[in-house]
Amino acid sequence: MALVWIPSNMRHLTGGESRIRVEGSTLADIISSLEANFPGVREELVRDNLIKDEIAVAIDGEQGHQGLFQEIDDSSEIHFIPMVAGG
Amino acid sequence: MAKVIVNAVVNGEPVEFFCEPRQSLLEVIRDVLLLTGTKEGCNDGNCGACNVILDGVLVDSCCVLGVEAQGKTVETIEGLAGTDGDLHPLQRTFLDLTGLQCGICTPGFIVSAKALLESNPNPSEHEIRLGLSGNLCRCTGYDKIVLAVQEAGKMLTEAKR
Amino acid sequence: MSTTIERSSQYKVIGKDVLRPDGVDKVTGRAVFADDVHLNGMLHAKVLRSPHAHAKIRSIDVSEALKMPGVRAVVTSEDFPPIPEGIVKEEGAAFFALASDKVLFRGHAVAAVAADSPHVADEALSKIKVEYEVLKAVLDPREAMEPGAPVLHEKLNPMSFGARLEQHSPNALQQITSMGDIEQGFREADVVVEREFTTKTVHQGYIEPQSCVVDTAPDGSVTIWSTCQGPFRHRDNTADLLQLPQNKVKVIPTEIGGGFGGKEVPYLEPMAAILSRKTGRPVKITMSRSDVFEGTGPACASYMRVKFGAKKTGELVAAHLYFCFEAGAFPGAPVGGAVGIGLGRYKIPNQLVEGFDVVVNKPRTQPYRAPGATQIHFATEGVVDELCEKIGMDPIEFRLKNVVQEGDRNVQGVPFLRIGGVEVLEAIKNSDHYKTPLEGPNRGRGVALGFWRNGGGMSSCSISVHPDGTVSIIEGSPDLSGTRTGIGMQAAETLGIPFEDVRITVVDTDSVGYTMGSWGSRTSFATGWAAIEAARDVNLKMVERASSIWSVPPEEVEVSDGTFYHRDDGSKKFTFKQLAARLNATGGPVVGSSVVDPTRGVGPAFAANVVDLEVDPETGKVTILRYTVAQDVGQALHPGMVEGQLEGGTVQGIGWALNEEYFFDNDGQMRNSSFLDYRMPVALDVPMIDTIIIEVPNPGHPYGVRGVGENNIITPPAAIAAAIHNAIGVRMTDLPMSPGYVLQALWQQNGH
Repeated sequence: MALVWIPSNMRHLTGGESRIRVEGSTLADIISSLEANFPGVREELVRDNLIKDEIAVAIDGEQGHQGLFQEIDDSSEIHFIPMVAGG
Repeated sequence: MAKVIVNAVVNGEPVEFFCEPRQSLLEVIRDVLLLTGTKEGCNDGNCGACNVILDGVLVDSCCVLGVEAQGKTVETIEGLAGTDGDLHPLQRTFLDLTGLQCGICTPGFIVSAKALLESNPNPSEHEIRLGLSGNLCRCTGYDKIVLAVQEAGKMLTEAKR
Repeated sequence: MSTTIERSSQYKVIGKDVLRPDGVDKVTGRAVFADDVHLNGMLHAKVLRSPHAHAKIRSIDVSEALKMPGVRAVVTSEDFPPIPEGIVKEEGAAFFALASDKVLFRGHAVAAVAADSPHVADEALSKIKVEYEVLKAVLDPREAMEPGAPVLHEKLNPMSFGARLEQHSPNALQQITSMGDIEQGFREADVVVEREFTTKTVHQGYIEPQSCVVDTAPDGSVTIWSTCQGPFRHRDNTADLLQLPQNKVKVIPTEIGGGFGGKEVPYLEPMAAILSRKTGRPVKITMSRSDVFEGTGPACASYMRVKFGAKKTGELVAAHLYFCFEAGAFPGAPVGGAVGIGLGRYKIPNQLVEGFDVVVNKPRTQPYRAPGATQIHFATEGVVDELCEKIGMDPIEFRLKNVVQEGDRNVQGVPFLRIGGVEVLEAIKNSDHYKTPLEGPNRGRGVALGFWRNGGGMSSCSISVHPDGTVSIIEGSPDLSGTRTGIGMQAAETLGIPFEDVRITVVDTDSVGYTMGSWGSRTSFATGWAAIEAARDVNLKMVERASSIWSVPPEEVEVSDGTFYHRDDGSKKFTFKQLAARLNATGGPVVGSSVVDPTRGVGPAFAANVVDLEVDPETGKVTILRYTVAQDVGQALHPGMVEGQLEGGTVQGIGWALNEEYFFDNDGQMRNSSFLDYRMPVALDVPMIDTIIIEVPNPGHPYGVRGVGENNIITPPAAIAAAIHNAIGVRMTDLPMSPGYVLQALWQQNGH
């Protein structure tokens, strides 16, 4: 099962848990499983069936850009991080 | 506003132009003569991007009126390279030693450095820093500009021998 | 100036100081910047700005201005189409459509006049009558967060500078991240240091003011020549505000005279487009220097509270960082980024970062080279320096003990790939500078470590191969400092051809695919990657062509270093030039193209500084004696330009540390909006900057490239503060450390 790191601004939804093991072969599956156990997660991450513009998804430390279709390995670590820019 | 006729020598060529008495020399150079190599950074004499040489004296052209050029010679960045495209030693060293980044201040620095080297062909680092302290560069931190001026000074001195 | 660089020269083009292709134009005055664009029939416009920091607009009467001879048109917010909510995606972009019901800062654009000359336009501004109802302004972020403070906006958009923030109070958004348990952490600490810090508003200080020429055609389509960092953002914002399809707005980026984050948004283009539509003529608007200071986005001021706890042996165990960034009139200070990198350089098991984005009645801030990082490092490195003093540990040893390395996790929990923190610290430790003792009264030495994540994102590129074997590359990243050179070098390296055979051009938004702006130290990395991919596409297509010319399967043809050859048959071989000459006759030209959004690691990077300085106890003036910067650049594409980045960023940091600040009066008016009074370093203010280029290749990039541009501004204020402490024994907690402040600190220390 993939390991999802829950950002601190979402931990109120997971009862304070910061790392959760989740079943799923795509990012969409992962978010669905999370939502089933922790209602509200989807709303934090998804808008109009797309990962929100302001959120970047890192799979094993590398940013993925296939959105919800991103494939996930069983051993993957998943991070949701804020998109940020620069000068 | 009524315009006046001004006669001057710009980069070696006699020119006659119309300008409003309120127009700065910088405006005349850029908007009337269409020599846009001379830049406006502040329009109040604090950045040196508009440096030109007026009758042998370095000036901030934003602080000189166009009508003041009457009967005078004006040297702008466009006048430095030879007509066959040969670069002035300062232009060469700024290029070779990476003495520029964005390039907006570069014409002003090169004109300013030309005036400096004409009065002091072999300046020390401190003399270069002092001589160029009327010019602002926000990209380079000045290292490579100082080196480029030093190197060009050497080249000019060599050439005179 | 003196440069140390250790490198393996595994590349033919990369790593050489090639001649930049735009260089001759820039030293001869031929290069065309936005204000150099001159179109037939062109009008000149000027912008009327609010004299109040916070006021309701009761009425605007432009009739007298329109009667002036030579005045052609006036634009106010009423000329803009109503903007449906949510259409303008960029936070705060709505204000490029001119103030409507309220002005929110002094300098807020209210109207603009187009006239036959800039002088007439200027005169006409004084004929526009605006009736204001002045409101109470709030200028301090801490006051703005208090109950009862004047409220700027009915609703704050939680999307703030690309990060999602929560509403905290009417004028503030917040973002919080945490790891471990800080209370437990501080209990475990042997030494705890807690301090407050502030920094003032500073400006990017690019020498070229904002400028554009806009031509609106009778069919409504808009062509924009602009000095901008991100032509596509300019296009999208302008299309949003004018309610036009994106393909009816074309942005042609001119050469750009510096940006540093300040030229990311279209302050002038939308209003110029309307003036052009009204007059049927092209319209130029160029800001004055005071417009630039008062009407564009400087870098945010800040209030920060930092508490760090460490063991006697030097390990950091807990950290609490609380900061308020002053966003200006609209939210969007770089809080998200600062939360992400604020403590990112050290392994701290227990940490809490609380960031606030606070709106106040001042110009809406913009990024400035590593946005947010300089402020945060000034505070956090200051506390680290004090911890080192209390523990009695060498500041470099302390940092070596705590710096993150490969496999350590950042605050979001993402593990670092190979990263060069140890290398930059070792480089400073082993530098001639650090090994040379500093002597003399009132002299001090300071070190600091800086960390920046760098950026990635979308870029596009295409490469045409010509029959003579030269190529043309087009890309969409405005070149602020020489990036087109580094991008072209990556393409030449991949194609195996000399750099001289490459011509690279930055083109308009119709001519290349979407490319994010030149910001976030992303350009050489991401657009360079696009150039690599386009070159690989060229190689692929040329391999196919060679295979069809030789009538062999493509998998039997290989390419290496610009030579195409059959893997078994030595007689079948083409140089790049030979094959290029055959292309048009064997199936047509080859054009390679790419769109990338790098999916692998953007390489974060470190810089370390050591500085020697002298404080004049009579005047408080600080003189920099010697400065060394070591930065991990991954792979230096063009060492001369890389040094230039390190030197330039460091000098900007020195200006921020010692001199630069906006002086606001109680009414929110900036009182030093000229280069005379807002004093940036000149050549005489600084010494040569010694640079040490460290190359720890970024495993995420084909040539190991990491972003270079921003990292170097981060550390100077912190290093200089440490050196001042070392010189006179005073902890400096506010920027700038100008002579008056240093003198005051000295007097306080001496019991005055």
